[in-house]
Amino acid sequence: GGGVLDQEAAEGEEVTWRLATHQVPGTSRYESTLPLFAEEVSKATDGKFTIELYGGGTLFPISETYDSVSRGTVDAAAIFTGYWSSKDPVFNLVSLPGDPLTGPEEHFQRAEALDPIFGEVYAKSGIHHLGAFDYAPSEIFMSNRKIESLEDFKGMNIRATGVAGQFYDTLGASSVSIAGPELYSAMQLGTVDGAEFNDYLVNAEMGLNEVTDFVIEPALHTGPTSDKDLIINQEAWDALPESYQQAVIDARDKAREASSTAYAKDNEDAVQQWVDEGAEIIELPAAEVEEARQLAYEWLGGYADENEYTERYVTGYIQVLRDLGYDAEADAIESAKG
Amino acid sequence: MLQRIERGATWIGAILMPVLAVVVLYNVLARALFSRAPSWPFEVSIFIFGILALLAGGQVLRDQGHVAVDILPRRAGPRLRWVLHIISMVVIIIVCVFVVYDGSLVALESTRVRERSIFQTTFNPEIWWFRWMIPIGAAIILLEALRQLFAARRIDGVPDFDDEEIEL
Amino acid sequence: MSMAEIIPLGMFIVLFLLLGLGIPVAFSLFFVAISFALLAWGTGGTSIVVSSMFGAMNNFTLVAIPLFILMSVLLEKSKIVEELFDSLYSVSWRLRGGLAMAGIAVGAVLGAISGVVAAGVIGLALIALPQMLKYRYDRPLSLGVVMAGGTLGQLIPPSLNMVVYGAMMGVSVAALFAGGLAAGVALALMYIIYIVVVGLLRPNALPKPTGDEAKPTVNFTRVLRGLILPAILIAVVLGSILSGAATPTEGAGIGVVGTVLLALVARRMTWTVAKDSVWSSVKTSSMIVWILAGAAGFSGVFAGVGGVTLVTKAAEAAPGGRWGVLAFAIVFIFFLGMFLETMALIMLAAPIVTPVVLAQGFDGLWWALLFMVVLQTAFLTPPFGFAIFYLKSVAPKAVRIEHIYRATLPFIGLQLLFVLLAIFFPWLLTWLPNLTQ
Ligand code: NA
Ligand code: NA
Repeated sequence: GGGVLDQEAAEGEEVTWRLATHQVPGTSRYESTLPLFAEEVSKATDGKFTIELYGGGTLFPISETYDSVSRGTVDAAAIFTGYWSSKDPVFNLVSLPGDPLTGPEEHFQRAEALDPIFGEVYAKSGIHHLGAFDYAPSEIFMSNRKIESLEDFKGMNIRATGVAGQFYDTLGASSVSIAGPELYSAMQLGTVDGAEFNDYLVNAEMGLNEVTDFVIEPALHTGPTSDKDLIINQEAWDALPESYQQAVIDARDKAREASSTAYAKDNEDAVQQWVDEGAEIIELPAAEVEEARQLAYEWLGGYADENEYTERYVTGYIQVLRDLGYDAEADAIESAKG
Repeated sequence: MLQRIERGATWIGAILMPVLAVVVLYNVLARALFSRAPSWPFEVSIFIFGILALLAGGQVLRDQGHVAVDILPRRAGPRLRWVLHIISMVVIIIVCVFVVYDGSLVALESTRVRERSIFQTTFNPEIWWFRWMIPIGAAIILLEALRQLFAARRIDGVPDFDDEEIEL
Repeated sequence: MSMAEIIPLGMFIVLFLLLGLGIPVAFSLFFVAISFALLAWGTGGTSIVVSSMFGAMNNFTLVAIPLFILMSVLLEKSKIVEELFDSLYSVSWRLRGGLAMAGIAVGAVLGAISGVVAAGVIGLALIALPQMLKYRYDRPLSLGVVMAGGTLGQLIPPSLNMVVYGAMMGVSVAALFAGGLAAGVALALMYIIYIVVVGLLRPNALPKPTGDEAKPTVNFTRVLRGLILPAILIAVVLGSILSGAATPTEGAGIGVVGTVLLALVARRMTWTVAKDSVWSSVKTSSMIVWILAGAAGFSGVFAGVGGVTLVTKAAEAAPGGRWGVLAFAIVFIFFLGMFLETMALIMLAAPIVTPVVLAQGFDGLWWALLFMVVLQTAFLTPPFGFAIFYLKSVAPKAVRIEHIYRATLPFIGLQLLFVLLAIFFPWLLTWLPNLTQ
């Protein structure tokens, strides 16, 4: 503390927060929620509470966001929780292999049920976790080889990370690590044959529709997820007057809403951009999808053993599946868990 | 003693240089020819790069290899040049003290949680030890700057610009 | 002006002061970053500098830098390059300035292999500069050729900066790559024309052989060997990238192994060559990474202490009229490019400046390409230019920074001329993308 830009606020006083995100200004995933969030907070506090937005990498490298929130270099961040599998394996489960959920309602129901487990882990680093910030449609699988069955994945070089990488390895593919900015050239030149990456809209913004021949539906390894969770430095949170805290929560809900309505629609509309660039969209047969999901559930059942939190998370997820009527899927994970 | 540390740290990087090239080549061949990309070269390449880049900083300072806009010091008389050299070393010392201190705190926290790679590769290595390269690299530079500052207690302790004659 | 607006401006002033005192670039950047983080945020803020350092060392695309440096040092120390240029000189001695032209061509090839500017400049400095100086080419011209040719990789695909810009501003990467290729080749031609003109006006700047050296006997076996070995190397590295076998970052690794094999074939690989090469490559790489980390820390603190607000306000203050806005935007990027790390500059300035320009009815692709050309120019403008510092780090000791500063001037002039041409003849940037779409 002790800097000239540091401050504490009482009710009705002015306060400014720095909020970092991994998304980059100009892209849909930034523009659709973050400016809205800042605006709503400001409106609800008569302009007293300002949120300054810092796009990916402008303040510090994205990988340093967790520590920066923990230390208070920034007050808050809206960022993908999956990155923090570097800190605890449970964060890997922000996207779930074989997930049958669809649409924002089901996603947020799961988030409300399971986010408290993430919250406990964040709390150990002095971070207050406000749960899902927004909704992200399923990732898509881009391929330059025609895929009509699981058999066709064999021998492919696939750019995939985390759980997805392990999943495609079990299908007989070879998961490859390629730096994000090099993915375009890698798809164009055939360094990789396929990639599992963001949704239609984001990938089209990155020009990936220019270098993709096939999109394989549905995404085999994961369903809808949160593109960002809202995490806040605990001291900064505690220093806020109650009405300001409420303003943050309400603004988060507005961001959730915007991402599950306007953004989700834009993403559906973006499919046309892929067709226009000549991509063929292939629907995998149901039997193949089923088989892939069984493989994913086995992986998930095993991953529950990583630590106390992953065990609780997977158990909680099974319950969510039952609540939503996905009993067969719940049974499969239950038996894989043993 | 310090000279040995600097040389040793730089040699670690120097030996790793060709290793880096071979790792990269191996990865390309495994992926392109056999579609069997190993999962470790991505992070191993990054580790080698980071180690060699950070550890050699002290040797570079000894050899006056850090690029500077040295127009003023070159034109200055011995007295001013001495002052400028001392300012330089003090700035470097201040920077390195902060980097060693903050870098150690970060590395300590990383060690506590046994931090893993952010890149989510299937290799998923622990990287807490890699975080320590920052305070270690800065500490070597710090010691070298202190040595040069100490040597400059006498005005002839300021290193010369040992250039060939300049033809224009 | 409020406190928050003065702070980021203060950063530049202190930075220039420290640089002027002769404090190494890397530590000047770090010092300003730390002291302003401390001033603005207190003791909790300084760790942002350590974060930036970790970002610089934990970045796969930068792995290309040490590999490129090692490849270039090996090529130089094993005398493969010297033989190449000797061969070129003996077959092209009638062509005044032939080696400088070859230097530009090599720069373009390096640019096609690499997406990282540091790699291009240092590679060309190690490969071409000693040869031009050996044949007593004018020093400022030789230095300028290295900086201008070495930064062509920013425009010639692959270019990481273009990928990032494309994603942010919704411009097709394929179109950017095509336009970048057109712009890069056009600039390379301009440099070559400039070399021809210098040769006509000041023949002494680009001497031809005299006396006994005149009309050297062309030894065809030697020429063949001198040209063919490097040609194979280029074909293998470029081929590995274009065939998709390797990413550009990996291509540099293939280049290193290829160079070692060549040197072995040419019986030029000795223990001393190997030892000296890795030793000096490590030191150069280290120096570069400390600068990049310092620049990243500086950029981060700059954004954090109000740089974004400052940039936004400045953009709002743009003068009226279509051409006024454009001129302002160009000067603005040029100015920021003088001290900010490139990627940080794109992230910071592009989303603010680009909408302002496009609102005046300019074409998005054309502006994106112009943006990239202006950025390339900023690499070589004194007093703070990354290309200048990269060149200084590997140039012979007799080359002082003021020589490099002076050498940039005509090439900055050429760049600005190109910017003007691109404004009056927009097709200069867009003809290739339009053709391929
Ligand atoms: Na390039
Ligand atoms: Na500059």
